[in-house]
Amino acid sequence: MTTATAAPPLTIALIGNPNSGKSTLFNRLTGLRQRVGNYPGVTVERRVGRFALASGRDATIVDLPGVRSLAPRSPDERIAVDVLLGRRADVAAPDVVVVVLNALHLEVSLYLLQQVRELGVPVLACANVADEAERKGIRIDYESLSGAMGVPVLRTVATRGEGFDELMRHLEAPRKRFPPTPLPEPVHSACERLRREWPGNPGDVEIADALIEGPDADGIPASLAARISEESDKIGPDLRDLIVGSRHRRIAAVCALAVKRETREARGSIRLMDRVFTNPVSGTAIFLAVMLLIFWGMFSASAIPMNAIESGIESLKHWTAVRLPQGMFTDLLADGVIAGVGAVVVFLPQIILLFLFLGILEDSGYLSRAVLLLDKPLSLVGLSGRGFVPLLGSMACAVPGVMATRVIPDARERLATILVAPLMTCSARLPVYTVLIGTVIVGSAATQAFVLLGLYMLGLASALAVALVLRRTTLRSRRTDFVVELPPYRWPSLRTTGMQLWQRTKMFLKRAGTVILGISILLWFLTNFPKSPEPAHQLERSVAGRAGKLVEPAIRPLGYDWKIGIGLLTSFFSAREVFVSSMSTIYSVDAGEGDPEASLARRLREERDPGTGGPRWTRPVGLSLMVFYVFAMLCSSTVVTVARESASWRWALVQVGFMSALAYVAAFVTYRVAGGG
Amino acid sequence: MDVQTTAALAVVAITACWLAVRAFRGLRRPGCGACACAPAVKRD
Repeated sequence: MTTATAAPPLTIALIGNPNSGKSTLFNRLTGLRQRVGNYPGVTVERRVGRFALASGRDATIVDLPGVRSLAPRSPDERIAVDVLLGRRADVAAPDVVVVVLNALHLEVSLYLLQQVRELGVPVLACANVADEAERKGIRIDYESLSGAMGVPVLRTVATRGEGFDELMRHLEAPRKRFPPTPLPEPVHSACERLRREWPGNPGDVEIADALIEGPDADGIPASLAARISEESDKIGPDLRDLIVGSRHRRIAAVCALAVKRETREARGSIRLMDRVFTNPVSGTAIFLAVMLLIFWGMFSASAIPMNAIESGIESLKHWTAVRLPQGMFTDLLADGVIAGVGAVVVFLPQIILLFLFLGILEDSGYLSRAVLLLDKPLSLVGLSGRGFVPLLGSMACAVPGVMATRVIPDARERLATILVAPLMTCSARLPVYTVLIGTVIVGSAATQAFVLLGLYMLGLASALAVALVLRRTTLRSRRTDFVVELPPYRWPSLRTTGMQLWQRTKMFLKRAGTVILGISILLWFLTNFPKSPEPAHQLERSVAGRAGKLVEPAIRPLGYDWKIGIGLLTSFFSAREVFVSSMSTIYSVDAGEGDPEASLARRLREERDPGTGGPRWTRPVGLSLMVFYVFAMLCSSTVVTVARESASWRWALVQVGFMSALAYVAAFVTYRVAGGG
Repeated sequence: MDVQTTAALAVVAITACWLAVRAFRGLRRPGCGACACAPAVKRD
């Protein structure tokens, strides 16, 4: 044992397609012994973990980003190639590369394995999700597959740890360094000639990709531009087919030998479902109906728990104001902390329901089909299928959505996706929309759901429209191709959905207990100082009130008064849902003769316009404000993330600028069309 | 100034400092931390 533990740690690089279960395998191997950071100088996440092999020897495992190919076009792919070839100073050259294959989509995964083989590094492959593939009638002959690919291919089910004993045994087995699989002639000779002139020991994959992409592609040494053109001209028009086509033909031959498919009837009915769900007409109709049903369910089912939470918060506020000694601190607790935080916590049932429904749709495999409907619109506006995940992610929150654009290899296409991602409706907009819908849209849950669906669709349509303008003007470039893998249909897992819901609930409450609490305390101070001798004019004469009055002339054409101005300002400097907590604090401080224990929506409905004596929160005002929130960039976290991801504050500011302009114009038009002013 | 006012102003001052530090740290290392959906980045 002593000898074994004294051996230097084994360095393992883990690589695989997205959705191959690579991260599950990594987590299963390392448990909590992992560190997540960034590769220096780039925004690619670095995950390194440690675990002990069966002999007691330590192993360090590097989880490379999920990639579909090794052609080093995106930052993720470039890092992967560098790590595999031992070219990064911050990661030891791997002793073994484990390629995680998705057994459900073996043809796609084998393309990556084939490219890793071309690098000539020691390789081991795991056909993961093997259980699901078997259930779908896919039978893999591992012996034939290993023989045909020239590397050991093991059967694994990472979620249950199946095949891990054999994996451990293979990791410690003596490994031979496989000779690289040569590319067909004359590509191989061209690569050899270029390699001699190319700095930094490039792999065949990189050189071959440079020959396909031409000398203008990213990351190609300028000094070699002429030589690359010369070599690719020499090979002629068959170049792409010689490189990419030969890989595909080889994989097709391997699959024909080692993979058998059964249950044609079952696969036929899945194909039929896919056709219905992804058809532009039937698919769109089903998608709209499903979303409407979700929103209706969200409004109807959340009413009782929301009322219960609201009553609880109001009782707490009442108890604080009545039972505690009178004074500023009691005011701070009642009007600042409880009113501000409580106003947002009330929305917890809705957030949970929304994510529960979306989680079920995602887990069942339906959401991927629905998202595929976007393929045509995305291609028309110049974005590729790689924009799916960022845009879908932005429906939860734009921050991870913007970060997910790292998978887009083309810099201009990526920037365009970053710039439009925050237009997708994020969950922070939900409390704002719900309060406003509850205030100005009087009707059934179905009517309210319809308005909410309209707001989601407006966000999507505007994202596509802005992308079209950007891709036709300043961010013009060739659209990259993308292959989408459709996950299998399955019953949603209670565990996965439950875990997701718990995570979101935790984060939502954490946010309410940190940022929203902080802003509410600060806003309470700004609405209470300086002290006015006339309590009725306290809010108006406070710092916040004066700030609101300052912006009032600018927002008056949209139908907003200075109180809304305060909400917009606090939203601008923090986040969208702060609007709701701000309104709650403002209306608590300024309860006047009204009922201080009334709910926020009721208080907004009862607010009178001092000029006309009529309701202050009319339907045109509410609609205009909702449209304003569809377009406006009122989220400081997103602004900072965009600046980081685009490596430029200029683009972040451009985004704030165009989104604000859009918000202003659209809100103005809505206010006028709805009959305001 | 009475005890309640002093306590309220102390809470406000601490909160303001905390928010400023948080904003500064957020500029250096964004990723909300507060956002309800950070785990939604699926990197597999």
